[in-house]
Amino acid sequence: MRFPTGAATRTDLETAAERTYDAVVIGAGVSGAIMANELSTAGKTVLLIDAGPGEDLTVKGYESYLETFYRQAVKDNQSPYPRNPNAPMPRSVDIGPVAPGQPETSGYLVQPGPYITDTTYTRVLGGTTMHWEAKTPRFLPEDFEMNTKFGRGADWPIDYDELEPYYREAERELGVAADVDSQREIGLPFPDDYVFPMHGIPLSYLDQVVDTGIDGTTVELGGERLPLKVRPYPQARNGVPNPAFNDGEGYRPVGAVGTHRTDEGERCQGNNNCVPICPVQAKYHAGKTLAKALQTGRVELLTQAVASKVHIDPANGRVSGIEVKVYYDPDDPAHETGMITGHTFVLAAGAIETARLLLASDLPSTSGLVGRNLMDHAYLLNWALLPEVAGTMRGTVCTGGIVDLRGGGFRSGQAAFSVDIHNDGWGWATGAPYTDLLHLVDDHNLFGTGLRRDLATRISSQLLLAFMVEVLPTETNRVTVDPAYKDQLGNMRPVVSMTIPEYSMRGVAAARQVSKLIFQRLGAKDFTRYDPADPSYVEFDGEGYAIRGGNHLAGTHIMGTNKRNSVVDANQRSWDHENLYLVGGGSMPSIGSANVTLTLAALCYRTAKSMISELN
Amino acid sequence: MDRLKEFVAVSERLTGHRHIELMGTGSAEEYLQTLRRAVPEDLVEDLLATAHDLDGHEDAVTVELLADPRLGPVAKNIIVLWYCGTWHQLNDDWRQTYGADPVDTHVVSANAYLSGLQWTVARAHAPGGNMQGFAAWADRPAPEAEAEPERTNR
Repeated sequence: MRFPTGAATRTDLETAAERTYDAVVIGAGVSGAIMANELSTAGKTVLLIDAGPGEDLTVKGYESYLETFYRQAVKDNQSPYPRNPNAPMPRSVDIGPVAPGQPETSGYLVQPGPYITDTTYTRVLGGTTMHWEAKTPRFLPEDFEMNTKFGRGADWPIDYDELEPYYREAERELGVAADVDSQREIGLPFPDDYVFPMHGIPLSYLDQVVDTGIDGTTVELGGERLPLKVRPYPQARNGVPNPAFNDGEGYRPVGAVGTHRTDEGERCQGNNNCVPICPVQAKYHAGKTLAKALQTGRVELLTQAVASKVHIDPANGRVSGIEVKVYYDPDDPAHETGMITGHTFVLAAGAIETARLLLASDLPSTSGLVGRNLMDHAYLLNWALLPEVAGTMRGTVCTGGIVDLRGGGFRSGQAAFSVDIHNDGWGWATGAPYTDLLHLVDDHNLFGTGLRRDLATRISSQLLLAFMVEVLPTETNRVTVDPAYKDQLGNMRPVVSMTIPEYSMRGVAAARQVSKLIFQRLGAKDFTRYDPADPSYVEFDGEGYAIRGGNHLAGTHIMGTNKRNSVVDANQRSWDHENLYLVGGGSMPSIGSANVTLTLAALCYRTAKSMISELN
Repeated sequence: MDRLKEFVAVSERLTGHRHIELMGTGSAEEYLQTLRRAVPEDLVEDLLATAHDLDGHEDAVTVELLADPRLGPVAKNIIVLWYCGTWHQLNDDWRQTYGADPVDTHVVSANAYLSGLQWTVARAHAPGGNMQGFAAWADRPAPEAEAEPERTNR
């Protein structure tokens, strides 16, 4: 995919401030890129503003991320992306020890606690899709009707059938590899003749070992007996194109993005490094859509530009302009400030940054819900050693999992969850295999061939099950701002208060029991332990759990049926400001137990359609 | 023998890998340089000499080398270097006692990370490099190569 040369520097604040665009889009992640591409393809002029460093997307630039990653001693999910004090991002490694009663302020997110999340999002061109794992399950039909079906959480103002055609558009754009029958089996309706752009990515050998071991196992949840089976995940990753796609037209995978033609990125090679960066761009990232948008010639990109205030015309509540601070150098706070104007405005900065910007702008809100209902999946990690070598550390980060517990009547009492089988071993939980080596050398005094043999077995028989537990909207889980906490440019940092609701903790407790059952069936030795000193440690019913953040942020500008119960309508348009759209995970009234990107992409296609007809 | 040869010979015994496997990583010189930057030269010399004297006495390696308060932590660090490509910072007490520089924990180089022996012994590859190809992950992993190092005198 060609990125037009010089696109990241073609305009500047002075030039952009003189124009009036059809649409001004804040944030060049997946939502912003899709909105810019759809609007510009329909003939509209777009200014896309991004806080990240202002360089064209080149293969060389991408590889510099990779080189940075190789050289990091701690390879966390933001490790390839350089620090930028002018547009900081949360990093799990920044979270320090938390003193009781004191807020956690060493990371970018200010967290009063006691629960401290290690959730992240990425502020570079392409956004969090640069580091995402690229699993793309659809939400279940029942996820849109949580209140009607289970008396929990909130219903969406639209249902699965309404969103279904847009799911297909999102699957085409993201390049999803999956076999449709495997998705029908878990209760997802598709049109009869539908196929995904690419055939499913094969299950790993590790997945197959787990599937064989748990064959015939069932679990009881809320009085229902549910089967355990390993199924493949749909993934936005280049595999083998399906010639039957699009009525027999087939699908051409989108390769690496660069300013010159490149042959990279045609097919996943199994680098086992989707998070934090795919070395060859076989994994979708929003730069692919961004490049397409820029090729229309109607999109201008203003980079190193942090939106700092939304201005409103008090007479009619419409947005009159957005103030941006443009910096010259990530390490230098020097910047210029300007006002950007347009007919419509789209905030696509992610659930936390979009809410932060609205709150920092001190806009009136009828519902008072801006920043509230913050959701993220609560991840419970469980790890064990299998009794056989299972080929761990090969493949994409995750090819399969157990998804039959995503839905069912038990959701009236407890959260649903899906289970990811991690092909990358215990890394997320323990820092393996580095920590395994230190353990064998320091504690077991191993060296030479003994060490070689034991380490080989220990690494290649690791099994990590990550349970992605549903979290419902809760008004007290929220983003706020506080002038006492500002970043280098003087923008207020997000203050994030989260607790894991009891409904989710019941799901967490059930997840732990299911993991024990699976390990038992596999004859695996359970090594799971949760450290009470972990800032993400939560006690429930006499047991303690470490709840990791999921980076699936949602809910902060929740969608609903009227201006009192929600921030945006079903088209993601602000109830209070008619030329303002808030797009992304923040609009979601529920997140079920599916990764959010595919669904937020589908929502963007639906919103773009409505915006275009409005602009016409 | 020059210093590099001595270093690789010691590394064979510590890591359980053959000379050819260690040289094949392309990281031997970098690791020796890292070692010499982090600990005093006389300590490097003593470590190499002690390991040389223990040749043929594998049972004594644990007691004479790995459990030695001065040499042990450095010998263990050599293992970590080869397996992970990472220099693991020696603790404060040890550094003060034996006069070493506070070289932080760091990845020696991109190549060092990619060539870490931890990945090859697991029949895998470093995440982000040396990939095995589309769908190779669906197959049973290859059996590990013969792990016994050559016993030749160089």
